[in-house]
Amino acid sequence: MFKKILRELRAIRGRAYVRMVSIRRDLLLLPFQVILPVLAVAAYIYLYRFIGAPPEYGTLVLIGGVMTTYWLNVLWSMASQLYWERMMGNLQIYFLVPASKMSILLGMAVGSMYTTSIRALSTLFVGLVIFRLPIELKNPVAAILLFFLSLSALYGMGMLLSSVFLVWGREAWHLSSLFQEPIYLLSGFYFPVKSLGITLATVASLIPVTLALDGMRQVLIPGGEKMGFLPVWINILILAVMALVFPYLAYYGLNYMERLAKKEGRITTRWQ
Amino acid sequence: MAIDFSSLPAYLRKFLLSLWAGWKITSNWTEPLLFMVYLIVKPLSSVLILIVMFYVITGSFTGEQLLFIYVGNAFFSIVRAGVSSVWVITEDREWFETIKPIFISPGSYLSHILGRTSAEFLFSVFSSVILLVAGFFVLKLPLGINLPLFISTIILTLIITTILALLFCSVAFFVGHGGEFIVEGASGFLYLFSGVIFPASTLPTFLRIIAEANPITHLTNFFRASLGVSAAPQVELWKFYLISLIILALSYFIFNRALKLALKTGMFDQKLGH
Amino acid sequence: MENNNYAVKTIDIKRTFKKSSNLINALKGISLTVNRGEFFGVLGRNGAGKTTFLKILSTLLYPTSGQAWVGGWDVQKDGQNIREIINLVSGGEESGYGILNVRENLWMFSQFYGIPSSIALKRIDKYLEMFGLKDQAKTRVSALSTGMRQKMNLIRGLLNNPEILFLDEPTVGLDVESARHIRSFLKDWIKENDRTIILTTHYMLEADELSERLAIIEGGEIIALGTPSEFKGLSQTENFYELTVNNFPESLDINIEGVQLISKLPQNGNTILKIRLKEDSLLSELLASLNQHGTKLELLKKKEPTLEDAFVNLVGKSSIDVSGA
Repeated sequence: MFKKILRELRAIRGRAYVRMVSIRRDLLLLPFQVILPVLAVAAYIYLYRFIGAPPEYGTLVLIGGVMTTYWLNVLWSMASQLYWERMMGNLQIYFLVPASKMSILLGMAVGSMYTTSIRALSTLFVGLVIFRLPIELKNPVAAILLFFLSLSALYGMGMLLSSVFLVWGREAWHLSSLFQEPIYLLSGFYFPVKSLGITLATVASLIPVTLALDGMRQVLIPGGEKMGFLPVWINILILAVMALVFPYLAYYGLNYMERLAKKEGRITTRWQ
Repeated sequence: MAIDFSSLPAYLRKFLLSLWAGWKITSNWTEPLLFMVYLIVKPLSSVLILIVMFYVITGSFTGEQLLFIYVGNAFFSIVRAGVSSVWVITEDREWFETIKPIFISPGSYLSHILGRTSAEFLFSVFSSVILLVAGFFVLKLPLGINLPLFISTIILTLIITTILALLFCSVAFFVGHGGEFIVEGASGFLYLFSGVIFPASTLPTFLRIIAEANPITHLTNFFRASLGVSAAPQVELWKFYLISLIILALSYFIFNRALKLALKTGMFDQKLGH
Repeated sequence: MENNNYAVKTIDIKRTFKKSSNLINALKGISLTVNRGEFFGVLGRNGAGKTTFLKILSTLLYPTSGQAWVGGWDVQKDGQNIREIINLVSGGEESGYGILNVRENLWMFSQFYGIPSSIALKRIDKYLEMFGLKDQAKTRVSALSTGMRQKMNLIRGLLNNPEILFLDEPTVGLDVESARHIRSFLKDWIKENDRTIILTTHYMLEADELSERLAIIEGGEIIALGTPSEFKGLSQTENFYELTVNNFPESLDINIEGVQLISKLPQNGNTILKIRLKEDSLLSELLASLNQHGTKLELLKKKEPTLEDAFVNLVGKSSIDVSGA
């Protein structure tokens, strides 16, 4: 058992290494990855200024901007990655090795976490230092819980999505691209989700990032309680359930899709 | 394939084939109906975000500011097509591995990039028109049309889109699996500095200089003026054409230098996937 | 675990693929056993079903029907156990990441087997040295030549020291020297480590040189199974001779029943005749006939049948690649 755990940890490290090294070797990409996207967040802050919103709405955008980086990491650097791995000729190897596919996926996410976190920190820096947006640490424990539980649920969800990519390939990639903006809209990345009305906001709460944003805004923004859709403790509770359920579903989803792919002959390689 | 381009000159043939391939690659992934949804849902969602933001603060779905934001955003989806063309390099090199056969076939590689960019441009113009029609009928936005100015603006936009494609493809030659980051990063920059969802005057002075020097800011305003949303910018249209063509020539020069450097360093066809 | 005495055992493996509305029968019922420690060759033309067969054995594809065991484990139920003891290398494979160098890529693959880094790196360095890639250890994979790339792929396949190694046309596209180097390495590796190798190839010389036993697959079925010498024996029902003669009349027509002149080539004033005889005993009659026409025999060689002859006889086609790179 210990040996198996060690193997999975090594697999995570092995796959993460590729991403970490690529940051140093593909330096030209760094500004595009970590600095320029922050400017889109700034654009939304200026939009609120243009329409005369109170400064707290800037903080609301800021928190949305930080969580966007993790959401995009899950979507593009992990969930859709099995499709690219197949295109690159690596998918066959991942099904040939004894390490779990979950570890390999996690390795991709961990490897990108470095750039993701730099980007999240740059966003925070721009928001807090340059825009001097108001922030108030009302309940640090809740904020930390919301953040980490949502990451766990998000990455679990990403793994579940990756199993879909395994069988659908390019179609799933387009679906992911199709869902990007609608999820920005539904999850309320740039406005309080309760503005969508109870029905839509409830549906949107199936996405972990919606709950995280709703909760974090309440505990980090002065007067943020008024923006909240659900009480913070309910957000935490649902996220805790999701943090357990999504990885569990991902495990079964990946196994099921792997069996399906082998049955249908979809783990094709490009050179054969 | 029913279309036959064989009698055309190599450059034109390559351009048209890439335009056709761009259509096939983007549209052929699923049912045509879903493809239409794809063309509509994404831009519609992004504009709905802005509408909700506006509504949260003003409690209204009307007003000059909303008109400004709505039209600016509809236009930006066309500008974004130019940046999106960096995908051509990533796809050709990293995924489809077609970069070598395309490069060595008659006609320049640039014809291929321009063909694919034009496909993206046409898709985005279509999306943009759908958004404007929806704005006119659903939100009752007071939109009119100054046809000569509108056509002029669209032609200028094609030039600007080409410039963006040339510049960002020049960068894409030297990065690996990173097309999506270039698209996102560059779009972020342009979204902030092109007067898309707020006037450049909202920016502090040192940032306003960048926005005002950016031709896309003026182009966005021309687009607004062509739809009767605001008065035409102070810049005369012929001067704008002249400046755009000069920048186009400069971008063409940069693209060629970048391509030569990529060939010299062997990076042109080197897969770097990570 | 069942059938643990064999490295591989299959019973009536079938595999169909659905392409649009058509059903393609890639394998039509393969039953086979490969012994532990054996170098087993699978010979066949492109599209014969060799790769599909290896994919099933390496747990990448389920059979449509039939059963297969690898190292005693069922390929459908015990994939995880099988993956611990096997590896697969395909010719022209492009696995790995272009941004990493050779050593880094190999290290990454070793981590998927949970090999501690210190052991993995020692193993990698040893193999890089053995395959002459030491100087390329820090070269990015994207800059490797085809031969170097394939050597790296083979090292990847050896990293977990697999009990059973599947090689799918491992020398395809390689130059003569690289292919020879790989063949020679494999012969030593299997002996020293007491491992099993199953190799698919369409190079006759490779199959002949390496395989202790081989199966010929055609149209998704095994049409022959045996040792290379048994295969050659199949072709020995006819006898081929090469005669170098002097003063051979241009117009001479050899008209003896059971004797067939395959070709005649002038060389340095002599003529080289390639002859097929139904029986060896017809040789004396042929020589007597030549003598009657004043033709003098300079040299006589009996041509041994090759695996290619056997293959062509069995498959009935001659389109196979016999260059043996």
